[in-house]
Amino acid sequence: MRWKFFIPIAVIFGGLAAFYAFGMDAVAAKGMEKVLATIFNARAEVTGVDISLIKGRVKIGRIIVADADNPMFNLFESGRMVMDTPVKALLMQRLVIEEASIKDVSWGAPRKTSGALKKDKPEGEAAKKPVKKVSAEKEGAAESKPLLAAADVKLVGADYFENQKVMFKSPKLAEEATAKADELKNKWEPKLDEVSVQLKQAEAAAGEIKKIDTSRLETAGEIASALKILRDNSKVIKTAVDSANNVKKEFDADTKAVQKLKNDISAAREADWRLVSAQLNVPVGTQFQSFTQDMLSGILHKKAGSFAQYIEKGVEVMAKMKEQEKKKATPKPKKEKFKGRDVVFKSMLFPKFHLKHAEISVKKEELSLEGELVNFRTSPEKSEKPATFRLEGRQNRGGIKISGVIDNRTPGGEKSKVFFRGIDFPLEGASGSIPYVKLNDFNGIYNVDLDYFAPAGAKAEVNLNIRIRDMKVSGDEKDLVTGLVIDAIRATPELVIEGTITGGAGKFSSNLDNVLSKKVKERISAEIAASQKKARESFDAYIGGYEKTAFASLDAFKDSYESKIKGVSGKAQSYDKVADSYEKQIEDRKKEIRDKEADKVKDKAKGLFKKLR
Amino acid sequence: MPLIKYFFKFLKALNSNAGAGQVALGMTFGMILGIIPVSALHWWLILVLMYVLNSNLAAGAVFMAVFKLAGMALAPVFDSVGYAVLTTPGLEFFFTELYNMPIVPFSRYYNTVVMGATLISLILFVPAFFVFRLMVKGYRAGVRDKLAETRIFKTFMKLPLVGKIVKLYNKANSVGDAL
Repeated sequence: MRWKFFIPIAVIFGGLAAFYAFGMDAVAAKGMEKVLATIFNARAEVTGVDISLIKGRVKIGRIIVADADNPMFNLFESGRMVMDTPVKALLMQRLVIEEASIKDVSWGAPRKTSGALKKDKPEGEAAKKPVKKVSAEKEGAAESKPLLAAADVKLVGADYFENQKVMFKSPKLAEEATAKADELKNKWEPKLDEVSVQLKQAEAAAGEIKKIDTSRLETAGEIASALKILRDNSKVIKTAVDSANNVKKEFDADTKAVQKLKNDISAAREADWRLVSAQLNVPVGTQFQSFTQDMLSGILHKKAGSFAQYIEKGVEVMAKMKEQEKKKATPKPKKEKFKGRDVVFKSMLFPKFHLKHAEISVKKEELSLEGELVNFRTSPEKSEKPATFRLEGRQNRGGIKISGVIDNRTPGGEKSKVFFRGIDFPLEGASGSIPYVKLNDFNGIYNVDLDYFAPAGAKAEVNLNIRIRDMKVSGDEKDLVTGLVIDAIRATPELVIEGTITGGAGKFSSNLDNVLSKKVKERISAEIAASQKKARESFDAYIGGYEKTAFASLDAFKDSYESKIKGVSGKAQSYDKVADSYEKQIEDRKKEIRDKEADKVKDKAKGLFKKLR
Repeated sequence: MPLIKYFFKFLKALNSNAGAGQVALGMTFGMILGIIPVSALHWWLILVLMYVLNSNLAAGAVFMAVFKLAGMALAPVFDSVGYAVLTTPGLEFFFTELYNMPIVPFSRYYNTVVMGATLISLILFVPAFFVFRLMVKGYRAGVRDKLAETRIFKTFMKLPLVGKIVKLYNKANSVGDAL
């Protein structure tokens, strides 16, 4: 027997005892601070640690953890924490917490000194990046929907159209038409001069024809000579008539083209308006089908009590912890040596983990909360009672009560129920909760009932009922949608939102939905019609400017040349008539002389016949 | 470095007049400590026992290192044996009782490798002790002198590196003693 070896063993045990008696609490506090600082990447302070191994009790006076993203604020802090765990269970490798309590949990409190950790060397960018807030994602998800306000349509005027000019056909056509009118003028001016010369010649020719005195024509020679004069001058007249006819034809073709241009401009204008109209068209009807959902998600997320922020804080803390775990877990693809298998035996006295009773209290200026968790354990099938929890609190003059049962005592038949009751909560500053409604203020008092059921083998179901009363609302009433919402809210004594979420898919409705949806459809339709009418007037005035210039040019061309062409044509025809009439007279005279001669011959023949009888 | 020190100490003990039983006991404890995983509570008890009893610690340290490697290689065998024992229906009640006793679970007896290694080392303890004692005695009686006379040993001892290591060890020992 080496008795001398008992000395170091005694020294070790003595040292351990001394450490337990005098130094363990301080070392444990420092250790906890280090662990918390590593997890949260910020300063942590742990004070008042008192560990009693004999009693199995751990007491912590205070824990403060700074916020790495805002070092002048605390991420969270807690007051007195007590945990009683039987030593017998610990000696059996079980963790049984008979009683645990955390008092005065709070967060976001300002610090006097910075909570940032002193760093030897700068960390990588990824480490510096703050953990993305879940709330930011949610806010992103609730982005406003595009809704063209009717007021905007009303403002559509010349400037708007001028900016859109490239898209329009009618101004371009009108400009082309104005240019065409000038081009026609240039074309017809010399043409008419040319025809006028021919007309003058025809006039002279007609004068020559008129000089023929048909009554004096007695002989065939005189007639022949008159006919020659007539035919020579008729040729000149015919040429003038043909020219006049051709000119008229061409002019008719041009006037037809002008008319077509005018028609094209008008048609283009309608097409352009349709284009504008399509741009100004506000889709009515789809906006408010999801009004309750939008409102609910907005209110729940932003203003359904401040409880959302507590949940968010929790999620944020968890996210930070996960981030730290990730950082730690990434390297070391080490091949582990075979360590055997653990055969499981029935635990008769204690489960591996059993939290018999835990209490938590939260104390902030605007909120006080207290809650408990009972009978939370591993191997729940051996438990007579299911795990239950309760959380009650007051916020200003409102209160909440959350209670629930987690019953997983039957393997594969887990049943959970959670009931949330929120009573008389002030709904304050929910103005920004509905993305496309410009509310300055939206206040009220609301109650919330939320029942969560997760029956065995079926999808979890959440039944939600929110009632908001004493609503006071103000906002930009000139805005169509906002005005309607304000009207509807003012006319509703209590807004009731009901809904069910089954398997993650939610369906909600409210007593405001139908009223609002109908009103919105009516008002938007009317407003849009009026606005579009006004826009049409502006459009007509804008495009009309181009059209008027084009039409004026075209009409001026038509009007000024139409009479001239008519005159030319009329004169030519009149000269032609003169020629025709003289030709007829000469022909008549010729026939007359021929008949006279025939009568003379007849008379002569009659006399001869008589003589022969 | 401590292992080399223990190795020389073990050689010294082997070649000196130290009790053969002490050296064999140290070798046996070393063997057990080598094959039983450190995470088991009884490993520490055996360690204390090794220190308290008059066993040769150098022999224990050297054999612990050797059998640690052997233990790793034999882990699947220990696993099979341990599993067979732990799942024997007749022993279930006994093991369940053990599981619900204070401190015993820290022995991790419910682990197949721990159980297998513990069981085999317990079985081997007594025979191993006698075998090791015989080996020590046999070594001292005939092998040691014959070995010293062999050409291979002499050549080995004349190697400059071996000479240096021996000198270094002696120097370190003398410095340590002086301090």
